[in-house]
Parts: sequence; structure tokens; C-alpha cells
Amino acid sequence: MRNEDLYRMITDIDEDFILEAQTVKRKKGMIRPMMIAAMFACVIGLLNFNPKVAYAMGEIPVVGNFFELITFRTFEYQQDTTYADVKIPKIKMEGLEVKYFDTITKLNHQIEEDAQVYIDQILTDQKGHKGLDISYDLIENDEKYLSIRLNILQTAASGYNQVRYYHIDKKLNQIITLEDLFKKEAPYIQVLSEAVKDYMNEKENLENGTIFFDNFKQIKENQNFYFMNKQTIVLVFDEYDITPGYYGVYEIPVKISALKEILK
Amino acid sequence: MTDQEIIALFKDRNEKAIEETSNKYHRYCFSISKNILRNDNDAEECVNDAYFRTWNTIPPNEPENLSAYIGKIVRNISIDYYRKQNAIKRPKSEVTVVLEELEDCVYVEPEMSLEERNVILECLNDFLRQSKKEDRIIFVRRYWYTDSVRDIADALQVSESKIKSVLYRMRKKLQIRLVNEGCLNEE
Repeated sequence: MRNEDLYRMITDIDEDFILEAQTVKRKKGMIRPMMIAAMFACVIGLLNFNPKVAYAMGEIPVVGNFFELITFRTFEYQQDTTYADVKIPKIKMEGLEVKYFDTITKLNHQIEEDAQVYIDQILTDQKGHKGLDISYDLIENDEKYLSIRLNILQTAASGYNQVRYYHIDKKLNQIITLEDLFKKEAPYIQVLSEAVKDYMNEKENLENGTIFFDNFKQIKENQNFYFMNKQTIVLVFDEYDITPGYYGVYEIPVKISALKEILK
Repeated sequence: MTDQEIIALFKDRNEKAIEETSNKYHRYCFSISKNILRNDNDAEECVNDAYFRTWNTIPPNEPENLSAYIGKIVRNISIDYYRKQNAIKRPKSEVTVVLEELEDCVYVEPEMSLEERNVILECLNDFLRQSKKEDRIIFVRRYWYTDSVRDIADALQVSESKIKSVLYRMRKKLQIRLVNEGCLNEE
């Protein structure tokens, strides 16, 4: 009987998850980008130019909607007590309409620059045991958005997990950050921060509730986020931002219906 | 007809509400129930019960999303039906297999209080939210929609062994998480 209880309990999971999975059913034959990426994830070429530092150009066939994500650069490094394993993605230009080129070039540069900061850090400060892992995931590639996540894990005495989300609005043909979702002058930071505080209160008050640091004031102007379905914006906080480290990267969902008045 | 228009019909006590719900969601509800019961007639019966339970609960409820709302109702009714039928000897259904899979995942006390159940549900939601999107979809297709591994593999165009390994990994992670967060005692 006990597993039937669990099976029944699953009925009441967040509706977002039920709706998200709905989109998969009855689309047999449709190619799911993440799945294809997972199936074929392989680095094709490896170019060594230094015995200690290896760069590789990788190609991963992914995606639909003409937007393809490939591993642009693989950086592997191992010396004494320092190591790095970095995979940097880029959006492929081939096959895309020319109008997207500027936006994509800009985003590709931005991703590479962000990753390079971590690489530089680990190469310049090699005292003690240090590690760096950077990987990426394609989060969304529907008719409206392309969203990519960079997963950054820095290891010293303990690990420090961070993520960076990047989005392109395909219709507007531009890179968007949180601010761009809202009407000009809309107090979105305050509104979202209040939603975060409400969520924290609710979670803290549960039995075995989540522990949050009590110094949260407001979200960042460019807080990481992604869309879950068309109904929820998920705000993403790096490890230690709002919770103790063992919670890792922490996500707080905010219903879009609660933001209608200030969304564009 | 939009969900909101259908909900308005329910609120007006207009019987067309059931007809419109059926037009829009019958296939969806039927597949949820059929996956659990493996029998067309039983599934039809459960779906019809679900329409009437929806009629009796809207109002006062005003669901934000009608498909998720009615999906939950039909899932619950079908599980009840499955339980009743379980006393009778019958062939192994997808649910039997799903329950066997969940066996190694977590131990839910049959006499659990509502608060305790809510804590587990919160853990489950957090776990899903923090899982990778494709893993989450696989988990929900298997354990909410009761899809067969083969159907999921076909829909996602990947191998069955890939689906099985994702499900195995997720069950293990969920188990560890529930134990670590004090939601459950290790069996």
C-alpha cells in the first residue's frame, strides 16, 4: 500500500510540472533538443598546443528552430593541485537568418568572456587545491526564446556553485535580461523581491523548513532567471546567496499571473 | 473554447460546461486513466466521474489551469478504481510496474499525517524544480502520467535504456534528498 500512497501523492505536484510534461506527449517524431544533445554529446576534435593545456573544438548536433548550440571551446588543464574542465558553448551561425548574426555574435562573446574570467582566475592563483568545472545546458529553444545555462563549479576547500542564464528573444532579435521583461519604470525589483520574501516566509514556516540567511533585501537588477512553461518565472540564486551552502543553487518560482500588471 | 470560458460555464451552472470540457480534454483525461487501468471501459467510467467531480467542485474552486485540475481529479479517481479492482485478480498493469519502481525510492508511512505528507510534497516539488528539465519531464511522464518507458522513449526519440537510467538516477537522488532533509527515515 505504501507505494500507492507515494504514487497518489505525486498527483499533487506543482501544476507547472504537469503542464511542462504535457507538451511532450503526442509529439512523437518531434526532435527534442536536449535529448539529441544528450544522445550525441561528443567532442569531435582535440587540438593540443601545449602539453599541459589542451584546447579542443567540439561539435554537438543539437536543437531545432534553426538555432544550434555547439561546444565552441573545451579547456582542460591539470597541473599539480589545480585542474580545470571547461566546456564553452556557442550558438552556430550556419543556417540562420542573417538578421540574427549580430545578436548571436554578441551573446557568444558574452558567454566566452564570462567563462574566461573563471579560467583566468584559476590560472593566476594556483595556491592550494583548486578546481574549475564549467558545463552548459540548453534550457529552452521554442518559438520565442533561446535560453542557455552555464554551470560553474569552483572547488577549493569546498565547492561553490554558480549559474549564468542567457536568453535571446527570437521575435525581438535581442539578448534579454530580467529587466527587459518588464515595462519601463515598472518597479519589478520590488515586486519580485516581495514575492521572494513571501516564498521564503512560507518555506521557513514549514516543519523542517528551509533555512534562509536573514540579510536578503532585494534581488539583483539582472538576477538570473528562466521560464518554466509560459506560467512561471524562476529566479535563480547562486550557492550561499540566500541559503546555506548545502542547498546549492536555489530557485524560487514566481507565477507570471502575479506579475501581469508590470510585464510587457 | 478557452479554459476561462469553460470555467465560466461551470460557474453559471450551465451543463454545456461538461460537454465543452469533454470536447477539449477527453483524450487527455482518457489517456491518463487508461495508463493506470489498461481498460477502455474502466477509463471511460473514471473520466465521466471526473467530469462530475469537476462540476461539483467548480465553484467554489476556480482553477488557474483546467487541464491540470481535471487531470489531477481523473488521476485520483483512477487510482481509487485501481485499488478497488486490485482485490480482483487481473493482469499486471503499468501501475504495478510503476509501484515496483517506486518501491526502491521512498517509504511513505500509510498512517502519515497531512502535515507530514505536505512536507514530502514540498521536498518532491523542490527536487523536481532543481532537476534538469529533460529529467523532470521524464520523471513526470512516468510517475504522473504513468506512461510506459517505451512511450516516453518514443516521444523523446531516445533509447529505452536512457529513460530507465534517468529514472533510476532520479529515484536514487530523490531518496537521498528525502532522507537528508529529514522527510523520511531510512528504511
